[in-house]
Amino acid sequence: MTVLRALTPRTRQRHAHHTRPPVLVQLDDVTLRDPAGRPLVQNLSWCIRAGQRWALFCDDRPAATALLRCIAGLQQPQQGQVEIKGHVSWPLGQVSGLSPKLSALENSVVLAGIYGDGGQNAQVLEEIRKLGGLDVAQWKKPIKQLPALTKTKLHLALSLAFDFDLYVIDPAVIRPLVRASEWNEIWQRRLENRCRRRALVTLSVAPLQLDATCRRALVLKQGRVVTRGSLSMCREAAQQRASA
Amino acid sequence: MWSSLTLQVQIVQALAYREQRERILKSPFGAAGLLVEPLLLMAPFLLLRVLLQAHGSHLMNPLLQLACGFVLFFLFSRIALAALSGVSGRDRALLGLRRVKPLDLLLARGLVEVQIYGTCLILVIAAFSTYQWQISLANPGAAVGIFLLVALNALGIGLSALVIGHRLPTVRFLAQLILQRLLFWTSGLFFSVALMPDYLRPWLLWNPLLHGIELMRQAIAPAYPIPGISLPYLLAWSLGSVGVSMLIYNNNEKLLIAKPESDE
Repeated sequence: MTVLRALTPRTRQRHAHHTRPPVLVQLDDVTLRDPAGRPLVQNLSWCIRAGQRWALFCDDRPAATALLRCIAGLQQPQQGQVEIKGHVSWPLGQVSGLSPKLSALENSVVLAGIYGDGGQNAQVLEEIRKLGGLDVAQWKKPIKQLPALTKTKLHLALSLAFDFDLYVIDPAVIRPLVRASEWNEIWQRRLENRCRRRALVTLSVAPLQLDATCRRALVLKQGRVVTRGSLSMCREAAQQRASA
Repeated sequence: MWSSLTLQVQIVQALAYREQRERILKSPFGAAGLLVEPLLLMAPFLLLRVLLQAHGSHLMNPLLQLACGFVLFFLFSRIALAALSGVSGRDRALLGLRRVKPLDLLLARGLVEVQIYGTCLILVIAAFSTYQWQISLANPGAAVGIFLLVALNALGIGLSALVIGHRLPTVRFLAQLILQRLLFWTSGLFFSVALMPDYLRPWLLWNPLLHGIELMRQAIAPAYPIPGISLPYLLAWSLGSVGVSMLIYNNNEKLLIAKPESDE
C-alpha cells in the first residue's frame, strides 16, 4: 500500500516540492523596451531558483541593465509578468534611496533598519565603514561631499552588508574600482562570502571573473535567448557569435 | 505574522529616523527647529487672540483653547492633506528598495508628525500649567486617546488621499486648494461649537476633526461644553477611514510604486 501511495501523482508532486529549490524570480514572456519603444528583451521566460548561479551573456548593454533591473524588481516589463518570491538584492553597488544630505553613517543606519536584523547594529555599521574604506571624518560627512570613488565603495559596502536570497550583480559598477586598482582580494572575498550558497545572477564581463562560480548561463542576442545551459557551453556560444 | 509585523515596525522606524534627520538639516534651528517651527506657526494667531480679546468660552483659557485646535489641525493637515501630493521626489527613490512601500513612507511621516505635535501639545500644556500654577490637564488618558484617534483619522484619510492624488491629479489640485481652507475654518480652531447657532451646528458636526478638537478641549477642561460632539463618531471615522483606505491602497499599491511616465 505504501509503495502504491508513493507512486500516485499527488505524492510525486508533494515530493517534487521537497527536492526542487524554491523559485525566487519567475519571468513569464517578459518584454522590456527602452523609452523610445525599441525592444531590449523579447519574450523571455526564465525561472531563477534558490542556490542557482546564472551568468548572463548579452551583446547589448542597455538590454542587460534593463534585465538585471527587472529581476531586482526595479523595472516593470512592458509585456509579460515578473514574480519575485524571494528576497532579491538591488543591483550591487546601486543602492537607491540614499539621501545625499545625510551622512554615510545616517544612511547606513536607515538601511540597516530596513534590511538588517533590527536598528542600529553597531557591528554592521562598523563593517560597512571598514569595507567602504571610510575614515571617521568621512563617515560623518554628508554623502554629497564624498569623492566619487568613495561613494562607489560605500554603495558596494552597503550592498554587501545584508543577506539576500538572490544577488544581482552588474559588474559595470565595479569598473571604477578596478580602474583605480582598488578592487582587491578583500572585496573579492567579501563578495564570495556573501554570495556563498545564495543564488546569483551576474553579467559575464571580462576580465572580472564574477561568473567563475556560475554553473548556468543564458546568452541573449538582440534581446532573444539563443542559448541556455552550462556556463562553458554558453561562453563558447557567445564567443562564436561575437567572432561571427 | 509576528516577524512580518516586527519587520514593518523596523522599516517605519528607519524611515522616520531618515525623515527626522532631513528635517533637522533643513531647519535653521537644528533639532530644536522641529518644535520651534510649529510653535512659531501658532504664535501669530495666539498673539492676535490676545490683542483682540475676543469673546470665548469662560470655562477654558482662550489661548489654550486656540493652541489645542491648532496643534490637532496641523497634525491632521501635515499627515492627511500632505499625502495628496503623493510620494515626493526624494521619497520615490526609497521605493527602489523593495522592502519599502508607500504605506511605510506615510506611516513614517505620521510617526514623525505625531512625535512633533505631541511634544508641542505637552509643551503648551506645561507652559500654561506653569503660568497658572495649576495642572491644566484634567484627563490625560482621554487626551492621549483623542490625540491618537485624530492621528489615526489623518493616516486613514491620508492613505486614501495618496491613492486619489496619484490617480486623479485634477482632484488632487482642487482638494488641496479647497480642503485645507475649508477645514481650517470649520474645524473649531477659532470657535467653540457651543457658541455656534443651532442652524449651523448640525453641518459643522459632520467634520470629524471638529469632534477631535472639542473632545481634546474637554479632556483639558472638563467643564468645557461640547453639545453634539461624540467620541463614538470620531472613533468610527478613525477606524472606518483606516479600513476603507487600506482596501483602496491594497488595490492600488503597484500603481503607487510604478515610476510615473514623466520621470522616465
